[in-house]
Amino acid sequence: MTTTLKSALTVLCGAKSVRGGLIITKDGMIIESNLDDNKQAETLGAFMSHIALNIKISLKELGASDFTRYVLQSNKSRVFLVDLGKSVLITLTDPDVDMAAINVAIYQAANQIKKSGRLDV
Amino acid sequence: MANSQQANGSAPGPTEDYVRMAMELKNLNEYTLAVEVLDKALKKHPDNSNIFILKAQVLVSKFKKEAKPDLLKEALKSLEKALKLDPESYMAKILAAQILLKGRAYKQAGALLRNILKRFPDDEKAAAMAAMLRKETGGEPKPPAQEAAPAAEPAAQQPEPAPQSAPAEEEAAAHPAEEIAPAKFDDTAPSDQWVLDDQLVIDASDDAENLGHLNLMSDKLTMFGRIEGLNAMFIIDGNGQMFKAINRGGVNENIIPSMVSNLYRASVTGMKRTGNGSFQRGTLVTPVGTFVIVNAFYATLALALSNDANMPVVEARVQRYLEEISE
Repeated sequence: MTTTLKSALTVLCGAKSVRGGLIITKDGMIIESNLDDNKQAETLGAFMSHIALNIKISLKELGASDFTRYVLQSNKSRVFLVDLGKSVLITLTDPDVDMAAINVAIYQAANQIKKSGRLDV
Repeated sequence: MANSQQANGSAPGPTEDYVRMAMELKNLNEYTLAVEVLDKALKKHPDNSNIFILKAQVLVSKFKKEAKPDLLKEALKSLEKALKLDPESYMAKILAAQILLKGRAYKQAGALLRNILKRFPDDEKAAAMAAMLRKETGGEPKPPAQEAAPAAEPAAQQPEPAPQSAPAEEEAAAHPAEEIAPAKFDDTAPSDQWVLDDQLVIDASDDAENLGHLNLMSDKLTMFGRIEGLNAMFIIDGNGQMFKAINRGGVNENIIPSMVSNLYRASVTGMKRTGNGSFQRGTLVTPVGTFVIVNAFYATLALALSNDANMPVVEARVQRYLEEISE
């Protein structure tokens, strides 16, 4: 199963302008990572899980539970969070990434991860 | 979109009229008149948490001038009402905590600060207040991220080492979403023997210098008028307070601005602390709609859209808006 997740991330990270990807639980624990720097992965996972938690709390007030995705854009990069149910797929890209292409790549990766069945999505 | 034909956004609703008038009166130090305006606004919009918060801010400003403790008590009551309407309002919680600290109501202030720090472990203002509170009380409260998130900003260029920079991880693990209860505010009214701390100055977050920018931002919202799928637009000032709302789609004006403000705060911290630079904008897609959150220099612009809105058009319009307000 880990092979499936790793394979999904490897394909995703092969897309143009993608710097790395990881899958975390909603409390920030890393399930699988394609980032070379382990500390960077842990930090990114921790802060992004915090953001996902914030979204979840707010959505609860609006009568919804999970979000579909959240894209953060800065002067240096873009970070894509995709809600997979009990986990979150995080993709780190260059700021000028081709949105159409990356959306397809992330969608495919998310589907592959969901199909793995391990994450109860 | 609720009604694209009326989408020029130029006609402010009655809430905005009151808010703008009250803010201008506040900036002219006409606090009594500002409170009167806000009381009238509350008669017409008794469910608007933002008006309650603004009233509290005006009362705090009035207190600074007149030094009457009753004004702070009245402000606290107003914040209590705001929090009942919007339990996640950062602004209401942080201002209430300041007032309670000023009144030496340490237990209640501690409860509010813990609540804020659970949600925002890196919040510098709350962390500083918690440190002050610990100093006063000898240990209460211990903010969850105090050790992990020093008040000084780390260098933005390099990712922080995870153990030092991952308060959210520990916090989220210890306090999953369901466990972050709304701030309890019911029995927090200080007693009549409230003794004020003369050393403590309440930061009522005056935005006088920003009023011109905020007005300009409001005027330029007409640019978004013809976007299909646009349900609402909000301008939220640096304190998380809603300055302007154009709401054509019946979007919840208590919850959305607070959600945007909280998410903006978390996003800015998240990008900075992971070495990903300065947060510029975020796009949140949810089953109940799409929300675009834009760092607009002086404030936050939030757009609430239906999920079938044409996002490239929205992106282009946001870019043009930013260029125009920065000219």
